[in-house]
Amino acid sequence: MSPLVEPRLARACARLVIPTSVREDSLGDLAEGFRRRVARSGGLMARRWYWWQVLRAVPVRLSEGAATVTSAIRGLAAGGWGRDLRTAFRAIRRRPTYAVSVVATVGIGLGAATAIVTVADGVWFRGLSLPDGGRVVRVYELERPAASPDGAPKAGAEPGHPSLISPPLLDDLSHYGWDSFSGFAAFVPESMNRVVGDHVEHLSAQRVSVEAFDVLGIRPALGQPFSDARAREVVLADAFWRRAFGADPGVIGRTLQLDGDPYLVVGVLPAKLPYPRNADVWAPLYFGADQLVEPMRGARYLDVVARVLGDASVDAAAREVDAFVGGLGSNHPMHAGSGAVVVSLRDDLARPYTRALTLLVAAAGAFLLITAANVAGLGAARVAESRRDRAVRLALGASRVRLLRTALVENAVLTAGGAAIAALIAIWVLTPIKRLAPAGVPRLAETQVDGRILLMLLGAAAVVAVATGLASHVLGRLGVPVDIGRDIGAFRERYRGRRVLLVSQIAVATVLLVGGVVVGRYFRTLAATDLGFRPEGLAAAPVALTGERYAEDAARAQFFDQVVGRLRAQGLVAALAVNPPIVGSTMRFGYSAPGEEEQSIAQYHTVTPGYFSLLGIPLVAGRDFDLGDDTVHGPVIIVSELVARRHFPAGDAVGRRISVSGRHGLTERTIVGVVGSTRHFGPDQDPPPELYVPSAQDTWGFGQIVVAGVDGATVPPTALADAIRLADPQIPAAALQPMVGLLTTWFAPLRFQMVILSLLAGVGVLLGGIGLYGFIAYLVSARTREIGIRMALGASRGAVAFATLRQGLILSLLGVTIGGIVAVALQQAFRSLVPGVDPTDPLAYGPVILVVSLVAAVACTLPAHRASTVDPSVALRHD
Amino acid sequence: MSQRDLPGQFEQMVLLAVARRAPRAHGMAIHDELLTVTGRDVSIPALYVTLSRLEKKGLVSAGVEAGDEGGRSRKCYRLEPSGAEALTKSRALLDDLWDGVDLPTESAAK
Repeated sequence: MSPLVEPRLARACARLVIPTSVREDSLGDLAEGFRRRVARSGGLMARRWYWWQVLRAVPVRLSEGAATVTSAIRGLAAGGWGRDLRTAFRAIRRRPTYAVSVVATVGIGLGAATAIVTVADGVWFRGLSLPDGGRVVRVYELERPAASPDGAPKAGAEPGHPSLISPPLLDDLSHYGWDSFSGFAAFVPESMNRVVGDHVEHLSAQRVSVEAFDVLGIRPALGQPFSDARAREVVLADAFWRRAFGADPGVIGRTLQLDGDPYLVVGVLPAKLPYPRNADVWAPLYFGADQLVEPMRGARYLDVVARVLGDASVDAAAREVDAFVGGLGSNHPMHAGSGAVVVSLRDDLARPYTRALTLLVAAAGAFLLITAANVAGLGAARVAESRRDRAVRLALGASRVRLLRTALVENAVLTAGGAAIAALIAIWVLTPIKRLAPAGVPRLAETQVDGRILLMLLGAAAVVAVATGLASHVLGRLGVPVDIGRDIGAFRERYRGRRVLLVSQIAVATVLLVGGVVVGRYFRTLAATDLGFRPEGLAAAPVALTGERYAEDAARAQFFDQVVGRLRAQGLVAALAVNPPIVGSTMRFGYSAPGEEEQSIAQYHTVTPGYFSLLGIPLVAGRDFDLGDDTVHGPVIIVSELVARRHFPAGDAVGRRISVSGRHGLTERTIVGVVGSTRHFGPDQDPPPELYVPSAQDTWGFGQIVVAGVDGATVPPTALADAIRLADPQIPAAALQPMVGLLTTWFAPLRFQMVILSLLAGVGVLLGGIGLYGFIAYLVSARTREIGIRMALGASRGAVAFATLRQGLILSLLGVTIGGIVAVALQQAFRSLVPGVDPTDPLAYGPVILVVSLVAAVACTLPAHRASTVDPSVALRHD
Repeated sequence: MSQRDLPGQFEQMVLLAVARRAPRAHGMAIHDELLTVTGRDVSIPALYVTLSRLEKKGLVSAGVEAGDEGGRSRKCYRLEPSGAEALTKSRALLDDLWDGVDLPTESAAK
């Protein structure tokens, strides 16, 4: 470096920061000052001086820029838009490709983001439409792992798992003097049969505590709440009232025949109640003394909702109820080590979907950024391209402020067009999202693009318009002013920023695509997972016995025997099971093998003979239960393979005795068989240890009746209701649910995530494709002269088209590669969103590379075609 | 010229430097004058931005001086009558304010 030449980097920086109007004068003086300082005080001092000058030019540049922007915006606010608008429209007409690219980018990017925000807002963010809905909470009992009796429970999913509330615990909660709760209410879904003329209609009912109205903060829209918990009264849901009674207000006081009993209609619920969902009628929930006995503390099946008092915080309420349930352990062993958790009802309803929604909102943010970056990139190219035009206008006396104003107005017009399309896209895609989403997504049906959302869209569009307008102005004017076509090297240099932008977009789309494919493959893996039983052809329904008649085990056993017997008489295969897999129930009891100090914990089931063959659970050793396993004969038990292997590794479990805790304390039971383990909690959870006790030796007041047709024949939907009616018409019959359907419900949130990720990936790829198209199309138009020269020199049309295509493909391959690396690096994040997925799965990447390359090829085809049809004689005159 | 339109302190310094270096007051000369007299090594771009502002206000005018012996051509600034007037007014304003103020100086305090 010659000592008399100022440092190159400093000079480049000076170019960048010195305001254009004084740039040439300043650079000349800086060079002169530098040379004089070199002569006077040496190179080091001179360089230091030069850098110091550059540094101090930064605030000058900033204040100059701010002044230009302020006066441009002030000018816009002051009016006189007519001329700007005319200029803007003229510019748009002159560059339709640019205009279409910007409008499409803003439309798709903002449209997707808007649709996402609408869904997230409707399902999750928006408060429940209940009075003071933020104070309505769900209450769960929580078993803490540290406090459980055996120290280290081995059952995978259970420790710290929140469970529902048992009737005795609800009774305790309802009768305690709370500082922070105004009341508790339980909800139990049920199905009721309504006889209308000669046909039976299945109704979805909710048995609800009489406190439910106060807890939810609602009053019947018509009529009254229940007069008493024991009354045979119903309150109709709004939708059912309209459907079945044509919204006739005279329905109050009429009587409905439900499950063979007359129920008095006392009220109609308000419309659009967010919770409980899909109930046709509410009937009062009542627990007699037999439901509140000690063993029933294990029957955790109530959905409990509470209202936090106005002057108490939800956190304080959570601590209070946690301490209360924790304190119950000393008197009630079933609550030993328990606590309670409180979740706002809003979050609780959205909970299975919050992961997907978090992902969605993050993606919406990414789309907004990509959109802004894309528009800024397009605009920067546009500004760079029109430099000559700009210079001419400046020379003709236009002010910089005027030019910036025109650019901002042009940008605003295009962004506004994009925002209008975005609104249409958001409204339009909401329908398929609603259709594809699983039925369980709360509040999705009522979700729509409303004024608030549109206002947010408008705000986002305004920010994008101003930010991208300014950014493209700055970006477009950075870099070396070269004559396009004269200096290809410098020309390439200038587009480095846009290339980086494009590559990162394609990388983002790749990450989303990989996510979609990975979740899809995980989904398929889970769907193919052996559950340890065959749900196909099985249907199940819960049955609960209430009333004094069923206080004794013998009466219960007789009822269930009759029901199962009548089902068999109908030519069906049937069994009773307490705590069957996949239906969402859990019942844990301790047991200990001989010579073991510590108790282990297992899932406890009671089943009737034939249960294992009905569910297709293989008998590995020993025998199934038979009718001889009753109260007269000695207590027996069947254990799962996991239990057998853990405690009897020698394979000699059959014939050994283990002590099992249950309703009646510890019982010594002889192992008579070993069966295969089942994935009790679903395909993504390992099988827990399992114990099976014959129903006849431990008959509970509730259970699931599992039914199948012989040789795959379908089960008539009324089969169970008929059998129960014949056994005892007082007992309500729930509708039989196909177990495959339960599995579908189980898969619903995962399927939702998969659908969402695919949609997001689709939008990402589309945005990347448009970005690529815009860039390549722009390159072709800016290089028309160069292409013309090449063709004049003999390049074939094919070679020109291929060169164009190659540019796009190289960029997209680079994007895919970087995206793939990022996806692998992000595997931790992927796993936190969807536990169990494997983002390093090499088979996930093939389809992704294919899709991205295909989109890139399509995006480049049109510009490549245009490049190949350049007429050299025209091109050489091209500016 | 109202008091609000009077040049600021830096602008006054630049105007005075232009006056002192007349008739060859180009950017570098003004920079050097400020450095020599006030000891401030002002930022060259800031100086030019100020000069162009003063030019817009009509306080100075610029003409191009042809390069001497292969040197580059540079802009030369000249104080306009309104610039001189602004300087005089600023000074009068300060003089008015100083009138009757007797600050204890360091030497007087001793």
